[in-house]
Amino acid sequence: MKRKEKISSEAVMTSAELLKKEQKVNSFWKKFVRNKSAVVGLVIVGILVIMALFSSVLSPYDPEALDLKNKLLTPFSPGHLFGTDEFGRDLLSRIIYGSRMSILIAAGSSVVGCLIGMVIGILAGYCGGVVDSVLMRIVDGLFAFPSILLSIVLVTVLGNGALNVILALGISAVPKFARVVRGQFTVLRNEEFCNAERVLGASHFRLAVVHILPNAISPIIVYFTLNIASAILSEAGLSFLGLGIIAPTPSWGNILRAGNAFLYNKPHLAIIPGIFIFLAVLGFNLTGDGIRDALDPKMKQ
Amino acid sequence: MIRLIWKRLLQLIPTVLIVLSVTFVITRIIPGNPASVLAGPEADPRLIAELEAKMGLDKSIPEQFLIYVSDIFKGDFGTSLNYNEPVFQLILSRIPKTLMITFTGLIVALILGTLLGTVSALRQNSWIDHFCTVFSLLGASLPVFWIGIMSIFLFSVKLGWLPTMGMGSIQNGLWDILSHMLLPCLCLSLAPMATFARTTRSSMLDTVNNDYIRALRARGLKERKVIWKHAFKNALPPIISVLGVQLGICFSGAILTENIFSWPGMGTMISTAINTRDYALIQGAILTLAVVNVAVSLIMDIIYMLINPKIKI
Amino acid sequence: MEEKLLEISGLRTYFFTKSGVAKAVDGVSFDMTQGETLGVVGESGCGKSVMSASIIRLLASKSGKIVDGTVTFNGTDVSKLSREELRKLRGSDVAMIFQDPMTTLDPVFKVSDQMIEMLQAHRNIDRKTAAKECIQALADVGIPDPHKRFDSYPFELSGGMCQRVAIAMAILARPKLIIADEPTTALDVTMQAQILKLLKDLQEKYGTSILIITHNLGVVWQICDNVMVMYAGKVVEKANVRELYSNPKHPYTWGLMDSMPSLNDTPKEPLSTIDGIPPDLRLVGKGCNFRARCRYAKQCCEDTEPEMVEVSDGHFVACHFQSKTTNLVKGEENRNDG
Repeated sequence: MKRKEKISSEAVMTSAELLKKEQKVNSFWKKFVRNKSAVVGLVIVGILVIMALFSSVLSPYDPEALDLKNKLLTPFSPGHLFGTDEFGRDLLSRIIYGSRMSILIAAGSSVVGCLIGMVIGILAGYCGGVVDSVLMRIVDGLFAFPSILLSIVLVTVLGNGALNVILALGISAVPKFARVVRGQFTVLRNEEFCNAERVLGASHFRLAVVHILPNAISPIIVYFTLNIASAILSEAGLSFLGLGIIAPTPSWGNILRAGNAFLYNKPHLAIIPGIFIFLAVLGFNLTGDGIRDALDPKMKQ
Repeated sequence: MIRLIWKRLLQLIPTVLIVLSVTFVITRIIPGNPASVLAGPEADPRLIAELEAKMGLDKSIPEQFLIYVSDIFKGDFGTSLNYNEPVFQLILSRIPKTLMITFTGLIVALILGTLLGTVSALRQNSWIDHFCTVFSLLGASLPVFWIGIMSIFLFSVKLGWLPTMGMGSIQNGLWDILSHMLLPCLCLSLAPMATFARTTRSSMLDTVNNDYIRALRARGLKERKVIWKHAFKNALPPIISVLGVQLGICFSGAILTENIFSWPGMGTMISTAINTRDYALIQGAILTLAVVNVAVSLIMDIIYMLINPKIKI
Repeated sequence: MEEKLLEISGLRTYFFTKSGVAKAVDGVSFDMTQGETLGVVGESGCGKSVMSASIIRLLASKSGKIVDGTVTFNGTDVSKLSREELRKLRGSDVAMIFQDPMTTLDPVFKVSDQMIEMLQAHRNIDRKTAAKECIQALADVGIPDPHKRFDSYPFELSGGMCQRVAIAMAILARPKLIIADEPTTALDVTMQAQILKLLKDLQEKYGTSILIITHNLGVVWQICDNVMVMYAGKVVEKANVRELYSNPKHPYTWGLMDSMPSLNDTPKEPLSTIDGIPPDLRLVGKGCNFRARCRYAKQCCEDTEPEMVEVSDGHFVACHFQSKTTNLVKGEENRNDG
């Protein structure tokens, strides 16, 4: 019975009110905010970015300072919230500085991958024909390598260090970005608005970059966000294997690698960095999904 | 059908060429001259020159590439510095063990993931649907190596139920192997399982909203048949395309997981090779994994064609 | 008194969406006898299809709920049936034919699989006998070379052929009622006539009742015994075909009939239309739903909902100005008090 009353009270709405309500309900930001998990994701990302930007202010200790008297302290020890590692370095400080490394590498490699991928994707998708076939065969070839394997090999060849990891992860991400951008461009270049611009005499470059790109941008943004998540995972994986960021410079992956050796009696050294990797990846995944759902619910593959 | 498969096989040629060029280029940009590395430090320059000639390093780059490719096709992947054995033999002895855990993990993931995805699509907004959503998020966000470490911590260190290291031996019975396989496989299957659940759920949701599904119900078919026979077969194509991609992800995961569980497959071999700068072995290993990956995506494409009735056999 | 096959009273089906409740079917009542052909007409989006789907409780969207009303088929209350009983009712006693024949067959299974499967869902029958019956049914609906078609995939058949297959499946279990939801809309004109004739022939052969949903009055004149005009989820007029044809009462029915092209129209003269569009089903509820598009509307149309009254034997209409005593005449000014 209650339901029926509700129906009748809702029924008397004018069409202007309905339109207003619909517009309100459908704006991007409203849609994003209404999605609770997306908001959670954004909050996590925000906290991480703050951690990375203000590492030096936030960390209580120098992350590389040794203190052999206080090694392998358990969490909640006085002065060391997360405890210390085998060299007595404060784990909290190392985690905070590790976030800087993770975000830097993940964002940097996504930018590299996205830019190169976009150039390839735009060329292939816009030009079509032979250019498309040649470029996409190259992309297929790169795609054949399991992505972490490609990064492993690239880091082995390029050498360790943040810049090389960014390059290696960036190059491994190129095939995925190239495919997404190409897909968008092959569809969009035949749309009516492109023909109109062509008739108006727009140059190829102008048409591709000024007119088509903005229409193709939403999946690229979504993909960029999701790629940051997978880049954090890959970076951690590389450091875990002892490649890329090498101790004493802290990165979540190498903290976990070091902690793994003490699994039997000091498990927190492996548990804590893992939780941070997980939260960071989760945050970017949730944000990416949220953006996608708010932009276009149909975009789910 | 046969023609399509031929066409698809022809497309493989450039892909394989790219794969070969990538692995070839890697050996060329490695810091240091392979011949001087082989000869050891402070070696006689004449010895290095001799080695260079023997390894074909004095020839032009295209010539070197041709020699490299023809060697590969002859099954000559070079010699491992570390093991002092032909790389090809090493890979042959290791790859079955890697395939064993990746395929098992993938199959477990496929079965459980599609099951979970289908059920949650049918019961939208039920607890199982929420579970599926949370699970797909966790699966996509949890680092596979951390899950490995944590499962060792829980099942081996704390509970002492399962062995941690190696792969056991068949001499101790089948259970010895299985118990060693259990944790690595579970770790590997988590991420693909999440993806399968997610893909199946959205594909199923698209499918069950089709007119023909309603029409089947209107004809009085049992719900079980409507879903598991008709809707499922129609929802299958995206799942199969994901399957091809997931194998690559499983290989990536296996490299990490094998290291954690000391599983004697390609992953542990690759990481040893990296630590000892055993380039011939690295090169051979990634080439092999890439080729397996390409082969599997070929098989997936053929299955894709087989389930599409519009392509006549 | 004839035996009632289908009795529907006070049926309400609402769709609960984020931006409001859409009252797709809002208090529909009617009944059908054995062998009757009832036509339901109205514009797109007036709730005809939802109403027909509600009979066998097969709504397309999960946001749709049958909130009120009873559907009695052959003496049993459909809403009280268990899932299994409902399943047995669907397809065997009540068959449904959908609008777009190209999408009502599962694209990845052969016609043979789908037909045999349907028979086996209702009867204990082996594949071989089932196949025989199916091929016979295909022949009955005028499919040339039924053996070959039986072994085809749906995408190998044309639209008209698919609709014939759909009809063959509908009659396969000899249902008492066929619900045909715009069965000819997606087909070209010559095919439309053939399909209608086929339905009529099958009805004569098996004595089936047909509930036909259409927006085309031509279809109604051709094959129906009785007509029901729906507007914005409600029935506005209901009568025998002859009566409605010669003596339509509701202003909406007048509009529908005027907007139908006929051979007597002067060429080049524009076809008359009903101005405006049907109201948003989330906004209806008070007064007469048609008032905004009705040239005869007065204040009372705004305030109260018109009751369904019987103006002559078997002719019902829901308009404030049509009853046994008051009479609105088409084209004349409405002199009644509002």
